[in-house]
Amino acid sequence: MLFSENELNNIKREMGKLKDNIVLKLFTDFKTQEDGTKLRRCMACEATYELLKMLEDLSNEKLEIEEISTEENEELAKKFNVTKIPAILFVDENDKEIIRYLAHPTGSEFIPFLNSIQYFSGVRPYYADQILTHLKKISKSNMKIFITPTCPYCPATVPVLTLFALVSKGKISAEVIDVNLNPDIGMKYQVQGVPMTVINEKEVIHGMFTPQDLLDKLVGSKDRDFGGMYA
Amino acid sequence: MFNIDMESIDLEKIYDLIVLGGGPAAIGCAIYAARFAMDVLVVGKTFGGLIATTHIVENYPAITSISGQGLMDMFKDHMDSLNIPYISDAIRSIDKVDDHFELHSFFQKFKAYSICISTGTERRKLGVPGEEEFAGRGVSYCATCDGPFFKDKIVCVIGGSDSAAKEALFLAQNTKKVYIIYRGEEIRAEPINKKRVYENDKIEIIYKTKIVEIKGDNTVKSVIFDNGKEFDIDGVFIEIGSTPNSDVAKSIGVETNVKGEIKINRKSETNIPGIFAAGDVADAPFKQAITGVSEGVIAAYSAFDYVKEMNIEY
Repeated sequence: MLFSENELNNIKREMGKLKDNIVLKLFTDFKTQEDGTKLRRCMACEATYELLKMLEDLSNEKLEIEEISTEENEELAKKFNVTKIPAILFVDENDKEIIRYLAHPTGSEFIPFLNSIQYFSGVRPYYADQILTHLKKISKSNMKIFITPTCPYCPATVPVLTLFALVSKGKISAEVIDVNLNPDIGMKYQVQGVPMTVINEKEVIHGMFTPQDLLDKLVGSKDRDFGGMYA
Repeated sequence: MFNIDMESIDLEKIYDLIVLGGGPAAIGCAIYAARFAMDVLVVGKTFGGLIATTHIVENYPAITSISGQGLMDMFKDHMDSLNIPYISDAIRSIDKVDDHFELHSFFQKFKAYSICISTGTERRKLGVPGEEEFAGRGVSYCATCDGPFFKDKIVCVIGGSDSAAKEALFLAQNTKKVYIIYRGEEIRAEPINKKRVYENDKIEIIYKTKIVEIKGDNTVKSVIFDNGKEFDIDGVFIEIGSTPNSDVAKSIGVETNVKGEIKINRKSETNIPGIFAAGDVADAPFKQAITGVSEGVIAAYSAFDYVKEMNIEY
């Protein structure tokens, strides 16, 4: 993990904004060695663990990373339906899933991820009121967004989904899937362009969109055109 | 890191300057405005602008070579060092109310004494049958986003600009073959990129040809040329320029030219006092990141002068 001193200062400042204590569940393939250390064979797992651990260290004990081995704790992996690693889960106190990251949130994906952590801990996001006002009109939904680390539109689109997931407290759940790390899922959904968003396994949106667009889409408003943008 | 939580945004405040956009022109403007001690807010649909989709930038002075995203990350760091707030939102209309402007998004209302419109452009669509149907299934507007899905496949780039040449060069790294399909007689790339295209064995240019249809089943399989020939292809990358995002400017009567670009003078002023414009949305004949920054910086200075004349205390 390479962050400059300035970047680390910025991250520390942002982590200082966390309000409530939160826990993120990180599923990896670690195996506990005889000396007590954890060995992760999956490279993305190791990198993701290091990233989250750094955030935990900079959070004034507001953020706790709960690392769970899919190999040592199959029961928990099964409970949370984790079949892919690394997987980062934002779950509420009743273990209800809000966001699932099947991605290593680094590079341009880092800031949206950090913002999600802030909102998860109680920082009030922009648009919260608007989403909450319309939440009754939105049925329980799941949104999957497919991304790649080289896609410049993806970091602008991912936070739209995670914002809705966090504000709705999981009534609208979001999955962020890096196609490079999960080519089999990409194949299953025939992903040939990113960002690609799948809503409730039915509707597909190519390109990016704003919170307004998504709210209209979920509410079913017909007074505006909607289309993925490549601005 | 962006200050995008509500605690850092004051919707009641009348900002000295609200900058619309998230590209180099907008951020250049915001950085200078902040250094002029103006209360500045940036409202952008997406951060980075069109240049963030460019895989390599080699003509931004003092930076020999960098990805478009990397360049905009540096802009972001600079903006962050000045604590400039940024909101991801789209302004739909502007009204003049007393001595200030009101800017309306779908839900919010922002207020400012001056505005810099740097809303950039949107990718132009080809407008042929099959384009919409196969978007994301073989039709793409971003090589850096979707190029990796076409490893060892045959793709084409539609267009003859410098951007089209750069897209082809990027795609040639991993694909089996890249065809540039251009309606003109010679591609209009910068000489350095034209030379790279000519020297690349994987790239072939088909001149004086238009695509009239994109065909396929689940994904793109072929394109139809204007001479009726069907040409087998796995991916179509459309790079035929862009159209200015000037609707919001038009909503308050800002003058645009026939292309829809906002008319500005050398002070980046529009025909409406207090409204400035910069970057690709403006009518400058040569559009580059560096020229957009320049226009944005001038807009900041002009806005500073404009607000100062209103005798508003900073």
